[in-house]
Amino acid sequence: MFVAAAEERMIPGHRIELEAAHREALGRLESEPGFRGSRLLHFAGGPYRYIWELNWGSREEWEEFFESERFAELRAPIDAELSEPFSLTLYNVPVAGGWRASPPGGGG
Amino acid sequence: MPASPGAGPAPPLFGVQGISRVLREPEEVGRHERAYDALLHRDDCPGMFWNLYLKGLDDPQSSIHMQVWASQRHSEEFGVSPGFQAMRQELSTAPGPRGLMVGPLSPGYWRPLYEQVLEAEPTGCELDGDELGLALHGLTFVRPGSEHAYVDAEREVAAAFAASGGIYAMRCLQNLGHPGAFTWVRHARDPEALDAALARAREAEERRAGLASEETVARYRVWLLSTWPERRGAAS
Repeated sequence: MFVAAAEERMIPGHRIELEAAHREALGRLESEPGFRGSRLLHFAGGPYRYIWELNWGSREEWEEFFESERFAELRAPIDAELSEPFSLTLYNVPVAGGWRASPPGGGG
Repeated sequence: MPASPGAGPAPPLFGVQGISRVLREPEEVGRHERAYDALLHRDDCPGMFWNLYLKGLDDPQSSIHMQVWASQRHSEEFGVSPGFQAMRQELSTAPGPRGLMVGPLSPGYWRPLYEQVLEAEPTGCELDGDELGLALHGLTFVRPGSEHAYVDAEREVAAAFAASGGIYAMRCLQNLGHPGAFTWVRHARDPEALDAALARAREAEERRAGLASEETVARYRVWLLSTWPERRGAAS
């Protein structure tokens, strides 16, 4: 697996618009070859910082998407809600797993 | 704060802090800050517990805004309230930003850890001629693994300060996203009272500061302070 993480800084007061833009982008990503899922992380210690994690099957699948026009089209509505350009950091994933829909033991 | 029967635990208190460099004329910024504070006094703002503005002692461009709410929900509801939005719209017509935030945790979200009010804490605003004393403010990043030790060290300093005279109040908060980051403020009647408290707390202060990997500490004028103890009582 391969992860592309975009660090984003929101324009003050644009939280609703920014999160809506990410939801819309997620819908478009679902048809991308190699896309495995994403999370939008909002920094708990302040209002403006976000990290958008995009998970891919391989670096090659990510790079094909990143170098296509589809990436720029995907980013445009999100970037309109940012106070500065996003920064991108790429990660290999040596260990993954443990995700649960509910706590261990089946509790609700 | 004890929860009402059957209502579940009360949500944690929620603090917000912004450290900034003022870009516009300090008088203009001050008028805006007092207008913002006036909104918090309204009856439709029951979740606002205290609101504080600090100004640099010898640097009028240096400003800190701290406030504590009953919960994050109360703070967010105020942010979308008609009164605040109207004020924001009015001010957005002025050219350029009012100030620039300083540092990665500004504005930041904080969990209040403790608060000690030792003497009748003066409230009001410098614009109205109120004398509110001064404050020692710190933003402290501790070495990973030292978080619990730091809170203990903070309490030791607070105990030493409390034994000194002329100390109004002390508050300490921990960042909600960066658990190694703490911010604290200690209010004193005057510089002499603050100096005396620091002398009394010297050893405890050294232990506290020794846990920091990085910190910024400075003295400020208390420019505006509003507190609503009756709202806290209503919330408990």
